[in-house]
Amino acid sequence: MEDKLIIGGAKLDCRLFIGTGKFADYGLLPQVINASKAQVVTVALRRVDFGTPEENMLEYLPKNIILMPNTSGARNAVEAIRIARIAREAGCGKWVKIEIITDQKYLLPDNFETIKAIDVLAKEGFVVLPYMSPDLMAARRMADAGAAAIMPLGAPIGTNRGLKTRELVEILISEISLPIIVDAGIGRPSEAAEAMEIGAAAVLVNTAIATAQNPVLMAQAFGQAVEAGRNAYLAGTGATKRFAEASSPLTGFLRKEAVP
Amino acid sequence: MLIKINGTESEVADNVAIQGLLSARKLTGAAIIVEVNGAIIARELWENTTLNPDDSLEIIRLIGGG
Repeated sequence: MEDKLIIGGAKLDCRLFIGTGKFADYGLLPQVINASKAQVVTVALRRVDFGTPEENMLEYLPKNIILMPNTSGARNAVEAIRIARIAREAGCGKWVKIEIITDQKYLLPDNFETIKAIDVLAKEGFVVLPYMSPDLMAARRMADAGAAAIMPLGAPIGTNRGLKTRELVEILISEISLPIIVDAGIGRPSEAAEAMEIGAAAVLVNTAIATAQNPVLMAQAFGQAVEAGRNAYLAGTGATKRFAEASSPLTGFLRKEAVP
Repeated sequence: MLIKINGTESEVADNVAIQGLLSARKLTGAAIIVEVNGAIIARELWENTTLNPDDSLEIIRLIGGG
């Protein structure tokens, strides 16, 4: 049974997207991607630091990987739009993750500025995936502005706290017809599975893999968890009940007395 | 001449070309994007694009990010 995730013309088998930040060594990236089977990775853009030796991180990524540059550092739509255009010129392709943040404590994204950025970039042919705070009205406006998917946070970036926004994410899944990709805060494979079980189209994980003691094994675990969660969703989970219901009939017991 | 590189004023040789400036800083340019006064300059033009006084140069690269 085919169950590909279709975004921006790409047909993806793997519903785990991986962030490439915080790894101790770029050399881990090809192993992590291989272990998880991820087909989409995020990257960032920064000014060159003349002090540190130059390293081309693209050399560590498989040739056919889909790059999703993020607009991290952008404080408003104008800055995000500029970063997206630079990334495209750099040969990153047409996918972009919009990340517009001024809150330095929780790194919560600015939904308002994000809507404005989507409006401009979608018209320029970008495949826009906005990182957002799960709010139904904002998501609707993002969809109307031309987003290819919606990426609500599970918990603040880097916190590994799990799907704290579960109920709001469930509402987005129910009400928005675009793929809903939980991005940020997922700390364990079980939390990634949880997001998939409730119907998320994919999850994006960075910190939980990059800072694990064994990032390659953790990437494998996340890949498996996302697949399990997705299959559970497709299989249709049974109902939860208040009272117990025996798994075998309550008759024909092997007892001395002749009871039914 | 004085130009701005990544937001900082820097003294560089008069009429230096972008490629020359990158080489002087030991940047091979493999994963680098160059913007001059807000406009991205294609890699093939680096050899022959000379900078002018007060130009604002941004040298950008891709790094890991979430």
